[in-house]
Amino acid sequence: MNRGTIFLLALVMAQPLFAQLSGSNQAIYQLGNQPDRLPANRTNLYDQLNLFYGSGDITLGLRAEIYNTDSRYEYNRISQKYIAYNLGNLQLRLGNFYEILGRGLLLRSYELPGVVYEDTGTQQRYGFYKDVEGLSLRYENEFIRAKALAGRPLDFSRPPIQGRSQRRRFFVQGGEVDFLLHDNFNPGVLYLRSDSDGRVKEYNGLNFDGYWGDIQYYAEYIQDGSNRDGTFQLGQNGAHAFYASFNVVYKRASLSFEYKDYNNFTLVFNDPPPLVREHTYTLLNRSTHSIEPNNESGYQLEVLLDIGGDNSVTVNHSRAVNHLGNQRYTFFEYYADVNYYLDPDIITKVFADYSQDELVSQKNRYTAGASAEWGFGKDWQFISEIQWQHFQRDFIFNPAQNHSAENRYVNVSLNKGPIYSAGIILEYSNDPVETNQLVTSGTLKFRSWPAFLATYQYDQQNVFNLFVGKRRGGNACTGGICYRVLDFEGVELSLTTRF
Amino acid sequence: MQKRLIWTVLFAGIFSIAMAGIKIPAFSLQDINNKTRHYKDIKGEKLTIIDFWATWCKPCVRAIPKLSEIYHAYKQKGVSVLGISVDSPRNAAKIKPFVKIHRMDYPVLKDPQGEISTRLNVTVYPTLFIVNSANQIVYTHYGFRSGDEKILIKEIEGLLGNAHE
Repeated sequence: MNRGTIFLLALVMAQPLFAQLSGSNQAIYQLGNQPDRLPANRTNLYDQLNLFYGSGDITLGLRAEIYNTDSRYEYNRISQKYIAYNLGNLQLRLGNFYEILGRGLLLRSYELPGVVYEDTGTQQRYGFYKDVEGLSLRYENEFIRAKALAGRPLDFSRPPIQGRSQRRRFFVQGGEVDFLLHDNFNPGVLYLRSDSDGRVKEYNGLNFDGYWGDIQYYAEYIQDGSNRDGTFQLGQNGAHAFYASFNVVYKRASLSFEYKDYNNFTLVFNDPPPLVREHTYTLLNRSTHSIEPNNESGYQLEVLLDIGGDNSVTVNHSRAVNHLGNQRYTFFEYYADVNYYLDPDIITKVFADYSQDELVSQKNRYTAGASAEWGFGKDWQFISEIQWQHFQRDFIFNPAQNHSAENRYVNVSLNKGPIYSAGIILEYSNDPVETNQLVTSGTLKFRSWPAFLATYQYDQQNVFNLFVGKRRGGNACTGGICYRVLDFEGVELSLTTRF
Repeated sequence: MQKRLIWTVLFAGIFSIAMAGIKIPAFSLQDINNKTRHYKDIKGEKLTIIDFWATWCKPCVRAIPKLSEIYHAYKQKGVSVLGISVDSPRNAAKIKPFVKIHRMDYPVLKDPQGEISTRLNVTVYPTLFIVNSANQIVYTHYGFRSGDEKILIKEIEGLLGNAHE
């Protein structure tokens, strides 16, 4: 046990002495593995401890992560530490911090609390956060809102085993100043300089936002200013990112429209808005379009209608075009859902979706589903959900392998108040990519993923979650961030504690 | 490996004896019109219900009309409701339309970087906290199912009763 662990343990045991010490802990134990990897009974335990200490205007924060497994990839480290000072209009933070410039076209650091990422190659598990290590300043008064930062952003795609020099190989300096002129019009300027192994890049841009009652707009343009010719490069080959949004509410209807144009703008530290609807339905969430900031333009349009009695209708359309090499790829999606109360205790939701994503060779993708929640007795709830998807996969360079496939999803669960919850999930797919027929010409016609899930809230501080069965891998999107989830077969038990 | 496992389990065990009364830090966030608002200016005189929600979250939609009802029923009794959207910039353009269409007539702030949700380890949406006048979290509610508003009202009534004593 290293000194860091002893320090943490001592700090925690001395907790009652500090009235302003708070924090959280998440421990996840797994017994099992990916279906095609050995040993099948692999065990690992991931633990993340977050401690905060506040005194007056000063806050101290510390994060420790432990990953125990029977391999050389285990680790035990303090992964974040900071001191924050709040002096009225000025906020200063030294250490690990999160910051966003504009809407994230240039820089966005963030965290997905509770999400643990597993690296495909090493299977190392680590907390899902992209922070910056350095110094950040924020200042605001009635005329101006300013941010400045200098530090090393984390390249999240690299697991902890790669070490700090690889994971934090960029050094960035920059900021944003917004001038709070009027509700209708607030202009801002953005600047960032990045340095990696002596390779220096400079980015600069402008943004505007404002509103008139229920009409609101935002626009942002960033370009790589390293070529120093100073010309706007919208729609041209230079590295740039443009994003604009407009929304309006009229009586019981609202509309939001967004436009994007990204070119050569894949940076380690940015996260431009993808302009694709964020779905929580499992099949749609998994088959979401992943943006390609190297070249992507498009738009998203969404209409939300209040149809009375707390019921609503959502209609969404998004479209994106990528030019990669000499090839043009088109994505589009048409989505609609209805949220309807059949009775104060029975809530239903129905959705339908039609889409195409040529970047993943999928065409004529139809998805539909329905969910219902029924409250009965004193505090019991029964929830059921069914989803279905059919699509065609066309290969440009090998049409002989073209095929169609189907995915199905069923979920039923029973809850007693917020304390107990138990449910069953069953997924099915005859997708040749899932059954490995494309590469091995195997005889497997379909795959299924049955699983049992349970949640128990022990008290106000402690929540247990249990997963037993098979978890289907693939894309997953949480909080606007999409990432790869690996298949898993086994048992997973987690305890989340807040104190 | 075994030794470390024991220490990790011990860590978790220590926290299970966790103390009640986690404090909400002093914070400020922007509202749906991008105006900076301070928590101390929004909180209820006696209790504040803080709802961490997102536009894409299905159970959050269920909670909103019930929270509006609670807000109107208990506003005069010193209870306020505060919605904190955890939507990332991806959904920034949809927040104001969502708030208006779902008639969220209580204060709503935006936490796109998870400054407050991360600090309070919010991992489930919605997560509802009832906070007392001393900024201490006195009740936590994860998720929202039909009928959960009765549990919330029971807690509020109990806490208001204690506050009167």
